[in-house]
Amino acid sequence: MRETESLGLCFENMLIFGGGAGGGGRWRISEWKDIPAELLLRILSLVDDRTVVVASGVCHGWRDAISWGLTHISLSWCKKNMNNLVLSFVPNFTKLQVLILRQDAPQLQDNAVETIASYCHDLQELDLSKSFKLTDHSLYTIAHGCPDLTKLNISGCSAFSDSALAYLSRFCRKLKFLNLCGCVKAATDRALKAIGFNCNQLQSLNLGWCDHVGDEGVKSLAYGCPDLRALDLCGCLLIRDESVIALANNCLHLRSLDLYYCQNITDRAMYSLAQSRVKNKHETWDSPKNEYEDEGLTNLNISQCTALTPPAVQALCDSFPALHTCPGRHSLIISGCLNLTSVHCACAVQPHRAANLLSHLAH
Amino acid sequence: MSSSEERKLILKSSDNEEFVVKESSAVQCLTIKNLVEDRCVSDPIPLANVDSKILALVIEFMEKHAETTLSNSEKKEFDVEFVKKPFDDLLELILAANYLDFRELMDVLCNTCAKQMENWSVEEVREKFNIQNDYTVEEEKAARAENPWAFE
Repeated sequence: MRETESLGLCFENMLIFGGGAGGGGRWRISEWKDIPAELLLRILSLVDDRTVVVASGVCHGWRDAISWGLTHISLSWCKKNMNNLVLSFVPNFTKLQVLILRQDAPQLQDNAVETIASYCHDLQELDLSKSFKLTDHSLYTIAHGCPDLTKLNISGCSAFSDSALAYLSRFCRKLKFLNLCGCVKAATDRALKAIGFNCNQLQSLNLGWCDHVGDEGVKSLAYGCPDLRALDLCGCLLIRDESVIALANNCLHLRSLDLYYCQNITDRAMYSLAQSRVKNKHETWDSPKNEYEDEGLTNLNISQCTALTPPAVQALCDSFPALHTCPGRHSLIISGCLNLTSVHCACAVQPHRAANLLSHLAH
Repeated sequence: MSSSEERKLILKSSDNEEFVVKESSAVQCLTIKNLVEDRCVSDPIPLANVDSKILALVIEFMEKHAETTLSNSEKKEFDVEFVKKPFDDLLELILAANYLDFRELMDVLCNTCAKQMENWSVEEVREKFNIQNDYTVEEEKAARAENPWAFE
């Protein structure tokens, strides 16, 4: 009852104080507990997240105002008791859209994630990286509680299984950004097939060091997620050319690809990327898409892909003007490929066009 | 064409003190600007929510920032000195700036307020803002439970 009264008072004050038109007939705030929500949130938008948590404990009026307006918060600064903080703080802040809980040392447990999933149904972005202690139960609760998730980071959560991840993909179908770096047990072909089937808006996927990832999984992704722009397959040792060929043919907006240590990759993969570029250019000739989409690959990491030869990689560079080998801007990473040092980007050869590219890319 | 540079306005504080200001300075306050544009200007303009002490400070800031001869860095230097006031005065100024819809002043004051708040405990915030704790004993316990976590 008291809380409603304070909230009511806050709204009234806010309505009267908002805008600034007109002259007299205004309330005078006699007490700061009745500060208009809008004003309090404006001040709190300038303080660090810890202070926001402190402010929410000052009085009912402030808590209600913050509860009404708070959409983004990070609790990563809490180094020792993050789990308890989530348990007591989150139930009051049901409007949260972005919640960052990245940890240095793993603290979060399933009951905290369950709390988040129970109260924060509007959640769009959740960062649980390094939550080593979480089990599949957490993924099930997120699946049921947060269907609007577009960004999920569970890198380092090594206890999750692929069946739980597949389950989550059936409910969180709006995912655009998914970070599974180090989730070795979760990121298997089985899970990737489910993601490819369910999460068709996916734009960015990090599968770094998930060494169970195979061609069947990546191909499913390529077929199911045509909007894929960034894919990190660093350390995915099993990947062969057919994965890259599927990506080249289906993911026409791909801008960043990381194949570090994918030692089975051969020139075939490079040529398929280069050729898809040519095909893509013709198809998008008449489309109203903006110029930046047309840049193609801007980042490619083929370090330790020792089977590649210079002509194939050069063909790639020639097809993608945004791939650079020049110092300071190099986006074609070839560490450990001693035979590829002759490969060079367009800048070295065509200074005029390079100057245009520079202004083109400087957005 | 119009003589708006020379045009003056009279602002009257809640305690009936009158201040003469240039219209060109005063329209930094959107509340006043709207009155001028809608031609609803009474003479003097009553500002029921701002007392003379605070209004004098607002006018000081207003006139400084309206001076075209000052550079931005000179204005910033002025701002730094301007905010060196007791916290209570800053709060009063925030309320006045909010009421007058004086964006520049609001920005400077909110930034200052925010910076000061950043190291406070819940009790310190209550004390500085003069807020009574209205939690019941049970709620207090639950709310208190959060506090240690806030100080890692």
